[in-house]
Amino acid sequence: MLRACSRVLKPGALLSFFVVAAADGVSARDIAAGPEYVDAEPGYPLLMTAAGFDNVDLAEVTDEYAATLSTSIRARDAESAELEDLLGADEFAEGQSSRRQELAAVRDGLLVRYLISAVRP
Amino acid sequence: MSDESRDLIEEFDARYRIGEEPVMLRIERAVTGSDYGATSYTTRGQADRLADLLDLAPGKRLLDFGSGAGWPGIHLARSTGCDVVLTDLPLEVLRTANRRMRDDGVRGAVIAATAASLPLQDQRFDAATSSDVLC
Repeated sequence: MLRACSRVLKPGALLSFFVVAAADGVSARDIAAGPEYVDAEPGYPLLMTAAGFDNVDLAEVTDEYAATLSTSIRARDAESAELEDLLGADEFAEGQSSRRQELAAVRDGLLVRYLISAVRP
Repeated sequence: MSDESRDLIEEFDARYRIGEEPVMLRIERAVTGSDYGATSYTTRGQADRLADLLDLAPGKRLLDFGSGAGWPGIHLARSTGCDVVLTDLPLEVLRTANRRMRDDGVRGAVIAATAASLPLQDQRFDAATSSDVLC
């Protein structure tokens, strides 16, 4: 994907994106045992460089990610009656459980969110 | 396309359809400050940070890959005046994005494609972005 992106960008063009990734040092076994969304490889600077980008910058935005997740859980709890009508009680409960699991993984340092920026040479 | 990929696309289509329900839009506004039926964690403040980092302005062309229903790509185009091309796979989502692009008066296009095989010519974009798409 990064290579395809590099191809369509003009020289000097900018790439900037958010991504949720496994924290450095998290083992493949932990990733496999974790929530299903923990599927990203760590080591983005290497991936970016291999795809041909320069000036790679990683800004961690994990605290904001945790805050957004918390707000999301609270907002859904506040709308639980309507969401249960819309989704069904089981699906609503599963979704909230998944979000709480995700938030726990963030707070345990297993999941991070980055804002990654780079230049296409 | 494999059965697994087809199932995944259908799942995302269903998720985005639900995202257009009034209760989901209320939640989205409370959580990220957007109302696009979005599934990413990108807040309005973070989207505005992207606009600065990408130096977006009228006359520039932005690619938003894995765009979903258009958050934040359409918002970025609307707020900076740049053109935007959105790519994703679920067709229902792209129809929604297309409508939103028209409603918001944004110049651009939506394309059904995977990010890994973009049917786009080389060196056409001034900037690219995505939000919570696995690389």
